Amino acid sequence: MRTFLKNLQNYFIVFFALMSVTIIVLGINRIKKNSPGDTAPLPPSPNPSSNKVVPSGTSGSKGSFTGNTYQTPYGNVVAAIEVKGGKIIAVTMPKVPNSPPSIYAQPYLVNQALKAGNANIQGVSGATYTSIAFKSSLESAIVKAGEQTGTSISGNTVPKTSTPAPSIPRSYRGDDDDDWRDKD
Amino acid sequence: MTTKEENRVFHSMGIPVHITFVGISKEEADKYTERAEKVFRAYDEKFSRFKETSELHRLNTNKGNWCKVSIDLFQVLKKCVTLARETDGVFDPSVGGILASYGYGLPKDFSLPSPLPTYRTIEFDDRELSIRLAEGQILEPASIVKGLAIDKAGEEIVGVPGFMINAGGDILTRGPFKNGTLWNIAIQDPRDPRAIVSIISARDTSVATSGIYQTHGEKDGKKWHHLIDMKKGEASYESGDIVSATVIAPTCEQADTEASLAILLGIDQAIPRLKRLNLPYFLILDDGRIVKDAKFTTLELPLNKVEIM
Repeated sequence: MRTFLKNLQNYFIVFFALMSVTIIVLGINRIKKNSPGDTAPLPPSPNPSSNKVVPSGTSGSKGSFTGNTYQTPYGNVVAAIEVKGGKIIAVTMPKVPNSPPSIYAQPYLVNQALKAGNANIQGVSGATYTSIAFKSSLESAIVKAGEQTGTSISGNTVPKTSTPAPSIPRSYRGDDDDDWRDKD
Repeated sequence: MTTKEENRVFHSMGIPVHITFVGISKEEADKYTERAEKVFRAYDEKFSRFKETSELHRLNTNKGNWCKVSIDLFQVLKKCVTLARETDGVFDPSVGGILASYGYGLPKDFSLPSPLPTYRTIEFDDRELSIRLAEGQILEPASIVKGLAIDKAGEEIVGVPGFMINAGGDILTRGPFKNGTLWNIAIQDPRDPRAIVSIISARDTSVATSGIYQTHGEKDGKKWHHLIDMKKGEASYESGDIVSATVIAPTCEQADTEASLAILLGIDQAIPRLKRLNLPYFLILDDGRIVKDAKFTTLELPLNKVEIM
């Protein structure tokens, strides 16, 4: 059932993305009617995390265009594109549904991050965090999870690191999950 | 056998360096970690603006005289000047002076000379491997050095099926992760060090993120960060600015450099530059929008897929 719902979600997103892509290509071609040169590159192939792009008005070959709001079962989708010289130079998503990642989906992302040990993330790239900040950072949680994996050969799953555990609410810590323990 | 990972952490240059090895023993992991740590220590000794014993500090305090330097320092500073020329001075290693005047690094109790020296006053003698700065000119090549140290440390790790070095958020990957899979690397949420906004899957590539969401202090009532637009001479925020720039590149040096440059240049100049260099990017603006290119998007993992193991 779960797989079915996931497929359905993916289907909706792909469908609306494809629709948006078609419309925007038509829109861009209209802009470039009088100008020579390459056709605008298509926005990225749709996948559940890609931006969905929808044009509204078009005026000239430069500017920002915000699309109409599309409703999907998983939330509303609004995308914006930056066009310069008739080419899409950036795709942004000022308003996003729950599914694709976005800076607005904070509660969801924080939950996701706290499950980093289960979520199979090997590292976090962020602006330089110092050794002091490392102790409470996500990366230190990843190290801890990885060290537990590494020591499971002898059956000992007590973490070796003395780094203080980040303050993660118990329910998100996934302590009972077997998934990240090394399976050979 | 690539089903085991070994994790090691050491601290250098004031940052944590996290290395993950795949398919080697604990002893080998210890050995390679020691080699990597040696590289970082050597770079720190040479390039740290926080150490009185560093070669950089010796150059910075040479009072406008010719100073013989090592080939590493010479080459790095030449690269800095090239970047300064390319960006018309927006990037300038002379930023060290401004940072020192904020109390960030050496020299202590530093007051800025007027006029402020720029990259134009840095002279190189290729034959003697000497450099002459203007008096009171303080250089800080940090954007290049961290990535370079990571690349060099990576070169010390040979014969390992796969490994990842994460030095304070700048990451180098070689080979696969466990069971031949790719490395999943998350991009930090600027608002929360425990949260993420995206995940990419990659290998044999480098990822670096530069950001101005971690401020270092206050001066004259304004919060400042270490990426300073040298044309303006201060770290200033403008609405619509990039607060976080993630760049993927073949070397960590390039990823580190271009991520920092993106912040300095601002979105109008950063995007054409990254496109010209053909580097995937992921930018977060201060109003919350995300701007990324097509190639980056193809590397992204849907977060919901990552959750299920």
